[in-house]
Amino acid sequence: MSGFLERPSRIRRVVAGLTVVGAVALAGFTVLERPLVGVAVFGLAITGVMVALSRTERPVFDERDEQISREAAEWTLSLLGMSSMLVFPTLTFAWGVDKFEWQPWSTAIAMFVAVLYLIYGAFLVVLRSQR
Amino acid sequence: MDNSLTEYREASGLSQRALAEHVAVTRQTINAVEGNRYDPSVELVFKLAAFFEVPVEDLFHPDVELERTVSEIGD
Repeated sequence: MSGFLERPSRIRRVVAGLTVVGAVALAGFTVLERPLVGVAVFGLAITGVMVALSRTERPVFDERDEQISREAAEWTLSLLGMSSMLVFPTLTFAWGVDKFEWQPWSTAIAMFVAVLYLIYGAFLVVLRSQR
Repeated sequence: MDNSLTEYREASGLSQRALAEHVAVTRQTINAVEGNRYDPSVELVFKLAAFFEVPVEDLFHPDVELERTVSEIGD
């Protein structure tokens, strides 16, 4: 196993695989009303990630991975922002003309997006003040 | 940004993996830099130049427009 995990490319695949398995298990077992099993599998997966990352002295993730991650985050925020600018005013208008009723799930999504952009705005202010 | 990293690396008899270990990045990053798919950070540019003991501009070549602008500023 240690030989297998000597190469950073293999560690990256293991880290990605375990992260997906952990997240899917947590969501899946929660839906199946087995929350403790979900948390246990998630904990094991994250422990596996830590172990895998500790198996090599060589860099597993570097500046290129950070840049890719930043670009993916930018695209995600942009996509979410643009779709929110279209969807939420439309839903609010529909609600105003009695064609739509806010449900707990739609309210939760709207609140999540609002909080996400509040956090984003706060980080923008903080980072600007530092540079 | 165009670069001569492949030439310098091959002249040194190094694999991409070996060079990556010397400058503490992944082999994929060296591969991406050599293939002009990734512009390295200033830190990595200087690390590579220091490793091959050459000026940065011997390793990385800014485009023609930038060279002209720099020479005009010099005049």
